Amino acid sequence: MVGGAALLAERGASAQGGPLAITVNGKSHRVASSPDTPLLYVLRDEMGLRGPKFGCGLQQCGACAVLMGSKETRSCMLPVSQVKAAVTTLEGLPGLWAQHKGVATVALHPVQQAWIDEQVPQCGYCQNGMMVMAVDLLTRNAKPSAAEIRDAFTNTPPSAHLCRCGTYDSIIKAVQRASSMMA
Amino acid sequence: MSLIYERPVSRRGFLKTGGALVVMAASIPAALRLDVAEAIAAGVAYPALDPTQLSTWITVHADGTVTARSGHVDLGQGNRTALAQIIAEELDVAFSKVTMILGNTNATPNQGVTAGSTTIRLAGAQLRLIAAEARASLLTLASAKLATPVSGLTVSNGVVTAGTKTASYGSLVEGQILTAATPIEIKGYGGFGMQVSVTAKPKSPTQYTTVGQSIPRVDIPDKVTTAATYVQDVKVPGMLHARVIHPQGIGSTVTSVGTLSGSAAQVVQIGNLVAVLAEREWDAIKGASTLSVKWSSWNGLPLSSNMAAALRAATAPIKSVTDRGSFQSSYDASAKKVSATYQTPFENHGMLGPSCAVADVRSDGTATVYSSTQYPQGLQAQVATMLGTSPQQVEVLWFEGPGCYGRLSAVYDDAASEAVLLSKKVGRPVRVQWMRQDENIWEPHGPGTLHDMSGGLDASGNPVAWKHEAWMPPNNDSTALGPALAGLKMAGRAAIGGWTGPNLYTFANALELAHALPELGAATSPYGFGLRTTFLRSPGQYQITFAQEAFVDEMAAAAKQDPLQFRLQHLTDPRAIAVLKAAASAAGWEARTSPRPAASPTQNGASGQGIALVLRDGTYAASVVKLALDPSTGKIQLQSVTVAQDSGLIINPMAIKHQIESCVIQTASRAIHEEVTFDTSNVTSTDWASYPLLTMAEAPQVINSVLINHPEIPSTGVGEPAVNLMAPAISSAIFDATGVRLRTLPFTPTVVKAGLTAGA
Repeated sequence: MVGGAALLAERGASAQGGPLAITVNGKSHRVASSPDTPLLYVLRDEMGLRGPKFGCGLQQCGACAVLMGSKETRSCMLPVSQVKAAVTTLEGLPGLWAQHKGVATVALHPVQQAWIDEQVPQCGYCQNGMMVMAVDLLTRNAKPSAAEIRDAFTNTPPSAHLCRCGTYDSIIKAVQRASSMMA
Repeated sequence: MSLIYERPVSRRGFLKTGGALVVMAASIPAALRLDVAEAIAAGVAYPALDPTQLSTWITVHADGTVTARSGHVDLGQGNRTALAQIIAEELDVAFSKVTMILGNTNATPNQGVTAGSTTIRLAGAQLRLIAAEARASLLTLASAKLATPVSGLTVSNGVVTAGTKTASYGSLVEGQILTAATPIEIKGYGGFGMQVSVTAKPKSPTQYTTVGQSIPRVDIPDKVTTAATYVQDVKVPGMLHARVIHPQGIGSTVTSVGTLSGSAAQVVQIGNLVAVLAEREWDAIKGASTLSVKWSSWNGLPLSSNMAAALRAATAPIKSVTDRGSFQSSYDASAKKVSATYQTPFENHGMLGPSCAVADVRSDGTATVYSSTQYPQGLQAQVATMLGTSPQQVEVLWFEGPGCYGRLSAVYDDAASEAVLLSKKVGRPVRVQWMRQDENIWEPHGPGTLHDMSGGLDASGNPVAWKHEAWMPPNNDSTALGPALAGLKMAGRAAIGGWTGPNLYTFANALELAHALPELGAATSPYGFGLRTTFLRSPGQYQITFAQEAFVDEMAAAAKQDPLQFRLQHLTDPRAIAVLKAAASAAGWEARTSPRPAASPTQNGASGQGIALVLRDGTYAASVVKLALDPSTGKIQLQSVTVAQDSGLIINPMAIKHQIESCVIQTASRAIHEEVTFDTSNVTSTDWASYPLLTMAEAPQVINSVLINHPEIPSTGVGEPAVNLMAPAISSAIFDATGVRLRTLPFTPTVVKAGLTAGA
């Protein structure tokens, strides 16, 4: 007979670190991992962030996407030593929107709310990258057409954002809903 | 560390007769209401699982909330929400009061594997009966408390009323476990044929207020905020990261493992299971990429480009699926003969996150496995066998995972099987994370198949003979990779191909044969397996339906009849007829022969329509695809896809609509892009560049769903039926647009362009 598992969550930046520092979700973080470590593993393993996901490690799927400044960037191959701009992960999107609105906090970025309203996720594994891509797109193009959304999610380098569950249709609707909410 | 699991030292004990209530501890977040945790928080042991005890399935808490437990899991289809709807409906409580516990071998009864479109059809039907019995049991308690016969009681929102007197469910159970008023009987516990018998009668569907509603999915908010815990997120104190170095060829064995110098990682070898383990994940990845493991050469596969010839040459028993009338003499005598060969490739499930699991095998002989498996109890038994212990010593905790579409159904979890062996070896918890190439090469694929089709028509265009002869490698090989590589003897396996799916057409003189092939390469591999396969979303029926429905279209064309009318003339099942008509009507089907009058293999923008029908596990679905082609590139633009579906009683319309969209987009991807390529040694389509998926730009412009509700007919599955429709409907729509019939999947731009050029 074996027992079950109780679960304790503990979040936040690592207390220890090396000389390298990066800014993630508005806070400075001293990197403990070796400089060649891809940003993804620093975010997930060292900082305990769960938004960016490991999908391919090849910049081919988009699951690991973060914002670098305002640009959607793949974190799975980018050595942490080459991170030169502030990083925002899915966890940081509400803070980004709060800053934009000049308020202290918001619970959700409009893109996240739109994802709930349109019931986008199925398994949800790719949706981190999809939401990050949506924020990037809406920053550049506040009112994208369906064709522009398809183009952005497909043809923005380094690769298309892939979904295996088949949520593309819902994503297009959610990006347009978020666009209205952010207007 | 983002998330730490502290395993309590308490052990599960028996508490069936104690009469003590397991109290919800307020400090435990709602999303984490594992009953084991509840029990420990309350300082009591957790009762053993006994499916004949109501308390195993349902706990009514003093505050009126309800915890219900199912051995099934939610793979992203919305099972958690739909099952809670069923429970809330039968109990007469608000939907928001019900929390589902899924897939925890300590806490959830074994309802079999979450596969084959069975969660609503089987597990949901079982839970409906259990919930009905729970409601009846609560009414028995209320009858005593309110001194009123049960017949004089009414229930609304968890409150029982008798005249002016009321009693909440919470007040009825306070201080006791809810015990069934009459015995619950279980037959075939844990199997597909499991039957639950109770005395209480479930509600009539005409009374439903929660079932049938598009209730938003309860898992979605957590998935957009990162509150959801995926198995990839699980971290255990003392855990090591592992990367497994899989064999070079499918049947290769280790000749030398080499060494790592100047690395923080360690090499672990158990037979042919070779892994690099490290405290830091990146050290494990780097170590695995630099370690020079030498493998024996193995070349037991045919080339994927020679797959058809290899399948045809294989010796295998031939199973007769249908033998009606006399095919050969009728075919020979027919006025018009049609014959064609169809082919499907090996395909990937294509989990967007490669396999991942954590295992903690302890020195006391117990083990905990963290997995996104489709069958926690199945994995529990498998791990117990691997460890030479009893299932009671192994707990499997299910977590969210990347959608797996059958990949973790019978091959429960390869990564878990490897993590268990590595954890046992090193005496620490181990997290195995496959890299993309591990998943693309080593996932058990969907099989490639071959189909010879022949049909005869009389002078009036009536079908008088039909033959479908299929060469099918297995849909499933249940070998777990870890023990096979480690050389552990596991239970025997019989991986041979099988036909799936009924032919609804009333064609006379029908002969359907299946060559039940063994696995490619299995005969010469030291592991016993070759190119492994496991159930891929509507396994077998996907391939059978492609050939069948596209060839029905060929018969209609030969008969110079409208493909819809041709089908309707040879169907008698009213539900099949209804979905075809509904899809055609909603799509604006043009009633005419195919190809269209102006069909051309060279015209840019040539457009066409195609239709297909399937009956999958009790659910009827039909689809109309409208597409346009660019012959200069071979690219297909899916203009609209319309699916009409009848799955009996509808539980959640929105969830069904999203499942249909999922089926359509995923199989548009399979039909247009996907093929596992292999050389004589192993798979060569190792990443998303060599195994591309459909992109958003290629997704259908419009997807329409028409849901036909039959409340009087028990619910059947919705995750699989519509996957069968896209490939044949696309094939027929290309034919309609161009007059060229493509019969070998996938219809990549290169294939389409070549096909149209050849047909011009």
